[in-house]
Amino acid sequence: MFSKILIKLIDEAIVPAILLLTVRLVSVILISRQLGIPFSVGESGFVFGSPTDYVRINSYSMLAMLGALMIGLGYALIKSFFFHSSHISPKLTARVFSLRLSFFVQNSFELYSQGAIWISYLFLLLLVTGVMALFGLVYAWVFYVGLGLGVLAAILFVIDVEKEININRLNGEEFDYYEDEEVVLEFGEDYV
Amino acid sequence: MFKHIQTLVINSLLVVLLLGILVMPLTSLGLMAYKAPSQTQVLSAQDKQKDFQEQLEKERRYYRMMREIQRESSESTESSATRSISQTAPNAPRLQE
Repeated sequence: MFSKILIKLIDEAIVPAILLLTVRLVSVILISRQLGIPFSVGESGFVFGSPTDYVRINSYSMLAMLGALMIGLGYALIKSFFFHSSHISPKLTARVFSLRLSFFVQNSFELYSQGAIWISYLFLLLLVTGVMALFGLVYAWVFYVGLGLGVLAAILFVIDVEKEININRLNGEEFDYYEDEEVVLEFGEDYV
Repeated sequence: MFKHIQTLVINSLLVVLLLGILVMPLTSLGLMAYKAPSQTQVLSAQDKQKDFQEQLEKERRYYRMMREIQRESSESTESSATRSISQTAPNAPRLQE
């Protein structure tokens, strides 16, 4: 009845949304304190004394949001490149399990739903930054930095998806060599 | 048939919920504003300027009116004096205007 993909996407979207909101609020307060720019809290939120201060704080805050997004997206990309259940090496699997970090190993459904949400946030933020830069509410270089990061993340994500597609194209016979290879899993002393 | 519609409605609501969650952090971007003191000053200055111009125009009108009255009175005085001179001394030399 309920779409499994939609439920998964909603589930994955909650954490980044809260993270981005928190980063925005905290970054505005911290950056304005760091730069010694006074502000008041009114009906329209944080009110600054001059447009110059507003643009400055807004730009650095946007940059902080982009940084938070890149950390989340980087985490998802690292997992999909190195800990993807479809192409993780046996040696790394053994290492991960021995370190009790088995939650790193995820399947395509988990990884791609997570990646899609983070990339969606990145491009939405990029869109808003572009509009703001157009009206002079944000420094233009913030938009260019975001655009570069967005393009890079999208390319890496597509490379991993292509790798996954190629793996799915292979038939089972090509994985027969795994049967000849002996894999020894080494667990910690707790398991003995 | 009814089941399909029910599924469609529920999934549409889920899509709306997903889009709402996606847009939620972006609403925080509008939580900042700035005062525009210079703009307020310009507006008040414009208002003052307007009042000043009106006052100035009134004074100009009053000044013109006063000058008009003064000219008329001097012209009438001059014409009556000329008339009386010409009556008393018709052969007296007249001043060139």
